[in-house]
Amino acid sequence: MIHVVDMTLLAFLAIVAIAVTRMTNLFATSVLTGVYSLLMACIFTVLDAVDVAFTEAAVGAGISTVLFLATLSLTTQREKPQRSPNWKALCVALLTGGALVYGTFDMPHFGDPQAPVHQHVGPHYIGVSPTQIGVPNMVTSVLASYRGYDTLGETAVIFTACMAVLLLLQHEKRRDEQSTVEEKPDKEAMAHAMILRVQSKFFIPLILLFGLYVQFHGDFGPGGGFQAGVIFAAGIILYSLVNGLDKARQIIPPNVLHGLVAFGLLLYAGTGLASLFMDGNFLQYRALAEEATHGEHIGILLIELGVGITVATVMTSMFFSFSGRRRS
Amino acid sequence: MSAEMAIAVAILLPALGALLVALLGQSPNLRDCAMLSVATATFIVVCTLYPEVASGGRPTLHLLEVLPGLDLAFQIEPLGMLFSLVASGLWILTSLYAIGYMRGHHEENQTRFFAFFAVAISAALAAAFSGNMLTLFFSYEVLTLSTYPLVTHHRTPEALRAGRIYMGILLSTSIGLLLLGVLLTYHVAGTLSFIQGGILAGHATPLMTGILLFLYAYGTGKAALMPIHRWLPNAMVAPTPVSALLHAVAVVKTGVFTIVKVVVYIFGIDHLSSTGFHIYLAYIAGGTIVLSSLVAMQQDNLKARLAYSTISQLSYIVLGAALANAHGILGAGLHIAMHAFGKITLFFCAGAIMVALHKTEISDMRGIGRQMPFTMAAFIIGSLSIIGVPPLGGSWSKWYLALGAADTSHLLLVGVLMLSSLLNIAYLLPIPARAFFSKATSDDGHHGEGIHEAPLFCLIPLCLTALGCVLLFFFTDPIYQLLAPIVQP
Amino acid sequence: MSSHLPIVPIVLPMIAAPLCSLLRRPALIWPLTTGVGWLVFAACAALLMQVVESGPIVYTMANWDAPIGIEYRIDLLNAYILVLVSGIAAVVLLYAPQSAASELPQDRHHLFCAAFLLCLTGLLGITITGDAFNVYVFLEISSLASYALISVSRDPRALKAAYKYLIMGTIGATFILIAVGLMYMMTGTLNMADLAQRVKMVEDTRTILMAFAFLSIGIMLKIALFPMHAWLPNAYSYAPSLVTAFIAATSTKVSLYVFLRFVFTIFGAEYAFDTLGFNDVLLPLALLGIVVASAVAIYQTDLKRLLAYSSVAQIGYIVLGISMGTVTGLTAGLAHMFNHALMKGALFLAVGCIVLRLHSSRLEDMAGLGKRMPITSFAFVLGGLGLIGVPLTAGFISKWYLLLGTLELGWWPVTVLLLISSLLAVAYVWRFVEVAYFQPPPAEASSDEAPLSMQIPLWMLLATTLYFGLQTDVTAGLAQRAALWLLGGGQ
Repeated sequence: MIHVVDMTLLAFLAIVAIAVTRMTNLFATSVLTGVYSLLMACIFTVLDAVDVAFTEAAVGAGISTVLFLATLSLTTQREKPQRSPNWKALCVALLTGGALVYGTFDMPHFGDPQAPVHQHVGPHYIGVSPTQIGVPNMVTSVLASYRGYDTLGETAVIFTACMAVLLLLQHEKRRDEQSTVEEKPDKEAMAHAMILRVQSKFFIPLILLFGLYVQFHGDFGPGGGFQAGVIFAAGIILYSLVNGLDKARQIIPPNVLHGLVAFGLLLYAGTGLASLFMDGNFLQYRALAEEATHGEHIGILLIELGVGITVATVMTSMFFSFSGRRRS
Repeated sequence: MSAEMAIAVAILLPALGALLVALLGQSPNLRDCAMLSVATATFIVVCTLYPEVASGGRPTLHLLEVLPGLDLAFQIEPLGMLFSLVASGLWILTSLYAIGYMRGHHEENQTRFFAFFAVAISAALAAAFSGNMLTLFFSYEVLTLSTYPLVTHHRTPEALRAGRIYMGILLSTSIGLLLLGVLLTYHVAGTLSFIQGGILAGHATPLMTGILLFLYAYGTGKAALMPIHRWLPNAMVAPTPVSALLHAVAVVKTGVFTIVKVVVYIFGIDHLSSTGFHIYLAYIAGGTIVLSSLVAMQQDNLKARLAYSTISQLSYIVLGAALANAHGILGAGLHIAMHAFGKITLFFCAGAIMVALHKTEISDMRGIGRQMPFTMAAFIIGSLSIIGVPPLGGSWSKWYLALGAADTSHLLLVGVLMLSSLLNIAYLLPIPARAFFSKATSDDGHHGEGIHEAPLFCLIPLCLTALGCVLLFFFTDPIYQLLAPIVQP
Repeated sequence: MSSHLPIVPIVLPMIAAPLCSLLRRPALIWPLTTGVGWLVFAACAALLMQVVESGPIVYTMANWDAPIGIEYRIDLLNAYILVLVSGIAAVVLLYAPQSAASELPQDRHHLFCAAFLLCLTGLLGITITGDAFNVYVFLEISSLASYALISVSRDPRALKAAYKYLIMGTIGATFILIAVGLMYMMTGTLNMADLAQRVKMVEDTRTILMAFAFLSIGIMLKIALFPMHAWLPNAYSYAPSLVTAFIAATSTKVSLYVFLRFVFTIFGAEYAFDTLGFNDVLLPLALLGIVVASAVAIYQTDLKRLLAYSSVAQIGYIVLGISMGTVTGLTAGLAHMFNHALMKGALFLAVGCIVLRLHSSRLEDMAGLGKRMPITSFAFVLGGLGLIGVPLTAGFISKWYLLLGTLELGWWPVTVLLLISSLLAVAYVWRFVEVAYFQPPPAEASSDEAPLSMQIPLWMLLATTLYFGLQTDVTAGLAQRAALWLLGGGQ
C-alpha cells in the first residue's frame, strides 16, 4: 500500500517539476512550486520525517509562494520568450540526475537495519538520549543539544538572509514611506473581500495558537522553533495580506521586528555563553542547572525560543520588505 | 668598522641616500650635496673592504634565511670587489657629472632621477657582493626595476616604447630563463652558494651543464648577448648620466659579472671546459662582437653608436668567461674595469656635447673639436682605450682575452678579437677625426668660434675618467693580483 | 577561560552581528566591528601559536564527544587559514569606514556591518570545524552574507553579478551538501576524523565515488576554478571595493581549504590521486586557468576586472600546486594561498583608494595617476610586482616552490608554461603602469591622495607581502609542515 502512495506522490512530483519548466506564465509557475513543496511535505510525512514536513509545508508551500507572488506583482507575469531550448542546462541537469542515480546503486537499502546510519551514532542517540537529555522527541535532542551548534549556525543563516534582504530592499521602502504610502493606504489590502476577512478572523488566532503549541510541544512531539516560527509568521503574513501592510506594521512596528530578529539569535548564542560561564563548554546546557537533564530542559527551551523568534520575525520582515516595495 | 658592517653599510648607504635625496627634493643644492657625500662615503666604505679581500679574506654577511637552506647572504670575492670598486668609484664622478648635466640640460623631476639612481647603485653593489645565486638574482631584479623609471625618465611616447622593450626583454629573460636556470641549479646541486671550483661538478651531466650555461647566458639579458641586445640601444632615450653609469657600467656590468661569476663559482672552470659546450657560447659571443661592431658603424646617433659598441664590448667579457680558462677569466675580469672607464668617458663626452652644443648626431659634429677641445681629447683617449692601444688600460684586458682564446686552440676566436679591434677603430675614431679635421657646417655658426665647453661639473668628471684610462695601464698589477686567486685551482 | 579560546573567533562576530543591526549609528558600529575584527584576529593568532607549540586543539561543542556531537579540530592547516582570514578581515575593517562612506548608501551601514561580520563568522566557522555537515552550515552563512555584500554596491550591475554568484554558489553548496549526505549514508557519521576512517572501508562503492564527484565539482564552483569561474569577474568588479578586497582575499581561499580538507583528510591522497587519478583532472584545468585567465586579464579595460581575472589565474597556481600531490607542490599551493590573499587584498585596497577619488575603476580614467595619487599608485605597482612573482615579494616565494615542484616531477612543459604565465602577469600589471605614469593627467585633475585611514591598512598589507618575501618561516615554513602533515594522512 505504502508503495502505491510513494509512487503516486513521486509521479505527481515529476509531473509538477516538468510543468514548472515548461510554463511561461510565471503566476502559474509560482503556484506550481507551492504545489511541489506540498508534495514534498507529503513525501517527508510518509518517510516519517514529520518535523521536516512541517517546515517544508509552511516555508515552501506557504511563505515562499507568497514572496514569489509579491515579486510578480512588482514585475510581470510572463516569462520572456526563449528562442531555443537551453540544451546546456538540460545536459547539466541530466548529468546531475544521472550521477545521483548512479550513486544510489551501492547504497544500502531503505530501512536496512544493517545500513551504516543505523549502526554508528544513530543507536547511541536512540539508546541514550531519553536519559541523557530527558526529552522524549529524539529529533529535538539531536537538533538542539547533540548538534545544537549546527542549529545555532542555521539560525545565523536565517538571520543572514534577513540582513541580506534588508540590505537590498530597505532603502526603497523608506523612501516610499515618506511619499506614496501615506497617500494611498490599504490600496493593495483585500479589506473589501468579505469572505477572506471573515475566514481570516477565524483562522489567524488558531494559526498563532498552533504556532505556540508547536513551539512548546517540540520536546515531546514533532515541532520546535523552526516550525513554530514559520507557522507564526504565516499567521502574521495572512493578517497583513487581508488587512494591509500598514495595519500589520502598526501591530508589529518595524523597530520591534528588527529588534526581535536580532534578539532571537542573541538569545541562542547567549544561552551558549551562559553555559560557558557555568563552567561548561559552549552550549553545554547541562551546566545551567544542578541536575543535568534539568539544565538541558532549560537550555533547549531557551534556544528553541530563540530559533522561533528569529524565524518568525525574519519571515515577517522579509515579507514586509518585499511587499513594501512599489512598482517603479 | 668590521667587514660585516662595512658590507651592510655599503649596500644600505646608497639606499638611504635615495631616501635622503627624496626628502631634500625641495632644495636642489642641499640634495646634490647629500648625493655627492653619500657617493663618496659609499666609495670609502667599499675601499675599506679592499685590504682584507686583497689579502685573501672573504668577508661574509648572512642576513637571513629566505628559503630553507637558501640565505640572503653576501660574500666578497675578488671579482665582486673589483666590480664594486669600479661602480662606487665611478658613481662619485657620475654624480658630479649628473649635477652639471641635469641642470645644464634643464631636466625635470631631478629628485626622482637621483633617488632611483641611488637605488640602482645599491642594487648593483648588492649584486657585486652577493654570496649566492639567490642573492644575486634578487639584486639583479631590483636593479632592473629601479632602472626602469630612469630609462623612461622623459615620459614621452618614445620613452614608453623604449621602456616596454627594456622591461620586456630584461624581465622576460630573467623570469623566463635565469630563474629557471637558478631553480634547475638548485634542483640539481642542492645549493646555490658560490664556491670556488663550482657546485655543479659531479651533479650535472654534460648536457645539463650545457643547458644551464645557455639559460644563464641568455637569462642575464643585461649582458646583451645577441639576439637579446635590443633593449640596450633603446635604453639610450634615458638622460646621459644613466647611459653612462648604468648602461655602460653598473647595469650591463652586472649582467656580464653574473655570467663570469656563474662560470667561476657555479659551473667551475674545469667542469665547464670538460663539457665542451662553453665553446658554443664563445662563438656566440664572438658573433655578437663582430655583428654589433658592424651595426655600430651604421649608427649616426652618437649614443646609439656607443650603445652598440657597448654590446660588442660586453661580449668580450662573455667571451672571456666562455673560454673557461685562466687567461680568459682574468681578461674578462680586467675588461670589466677597463671598459667601464673607457666607455663612461665616451658617454660623458656625448652628454657634454649634448649639453653644450645640443648635438646628438655624429654627422652634425663636424669641427666641434675646436669648440670643445678637452671633451674631444678625452673622447680620443676613451676610444683608444676601448680599441686597446697601449698605453691605455684596454690593451691589457684584450691581451689576456687573446691569450685565453689562443689557449683554447680555436684560432678563429683570436681572429674575431683582432677583427673587432679594427672595427672599433673604424667606428670610434672617425668621430674625433671629424670633430677636429673637418670644417664646421655653416648653419652651426651661431655658436660662434672659440671654446664652448660643457659646464665644469660635466667637464671635470670626463677628464678624470680619461685620466683613469691612462692610469689603469700603469697600475694594472694590483687588479691582476686581486683577480689571480679566482682562477687558481 | 583560555581553554574556550577556540569558540571566540566564531561566537564573537556572530554575537556582534545582531548587535550591529540594532545599533544604527555609524559612529558606534564601525568601532565595534573593527574592534571585533581585531579581537578575532588576536584569538586566531593565539590559536595558531598554541597549535604550533603543542599540536592540534580539539574543542567539543556542549562537551559531547565526537562523533556524537560536533567538535572543532584545529590543526596547523586550519589554524593557518584562520589567521589569514581574520588578519585580512581586521585590516580591511580598518579601511572600511572611509571607503563605505563613499561607496555605500548612508542608511545601511549597520546592516552592512552585520553582513560583514556574518561573512567573517561563516568563513571562520567553515575553517575551524571538524564536522562535515557543519562546514555546509557555515558555508551558507558566508555565502549568503557575501551575496548581500556584493549586491549592496551603488553600481546597478552588482545586483545581476550577485545574482549570478548566488545561482552558481548555491549549486556549489548544494553539490557539497549532496556529497556530505551520500557520505553520511555510507558511513553513518559526519565527523571528519571519523569519516576519514570509515570512508576507507567503503571507498570502492559507487556511492562514495559520486560523493567525491559532487564534492569536487561543488567546491570547484566555489573556488572559481577555470572553467567554473564565470561568476567571479562580475562579482569582483561590481562589488564595493572593500567587499571585493575582503572576498577576493578570503572567500576562495577558504573554499580551497575545504577542498584540501575533504580530499586529503577525509578521502586521503591515495584515494583521490592514486585510485581516481584526480590530479589528471586538476592539472589541465589549473593550467588552462592560468594561461587563459592571464591572457584575458591583459585585455580588460577595468582595473577591478583585470584583477579579478588575475585571481582566476592565481587560483590556477594554487590548484596546480595541489595537483602535484608532492610535498613541494602542496607547500607551494598553501604558501600561495596565503601570499595571494595578502597581495590581492592589498591590490584591491589600492583600487578602493583610487575609486574613492576617481569614482571609477576604468583604466582610461587613471591617466596620470602616478602624479595625482603617487602613494597609492606606487602601492599598486608594488602589489603588482608581487603578482608577477618578482623577487623580494611574497609572490616570488610561492612561485619558487611551484617551479621547484614541477622540476622535481620533471614536468618540463608545465615549468615553461608557468614562466610564460609570469610574463603575462607582467603584461597586465604593466597596463596600469603605462596608464598611470605615461599618460598625462587630465587638465582639471589635481593631486588628491586617499586619506590616511585608508592608506595605512593598504600599506600594512603591502608591508606583510614584502616581509613574507624575505621571512618565509610563517608562510612557506608552516605551509611545508602542513603539507607534510596532510600527505601523511592528516590525522
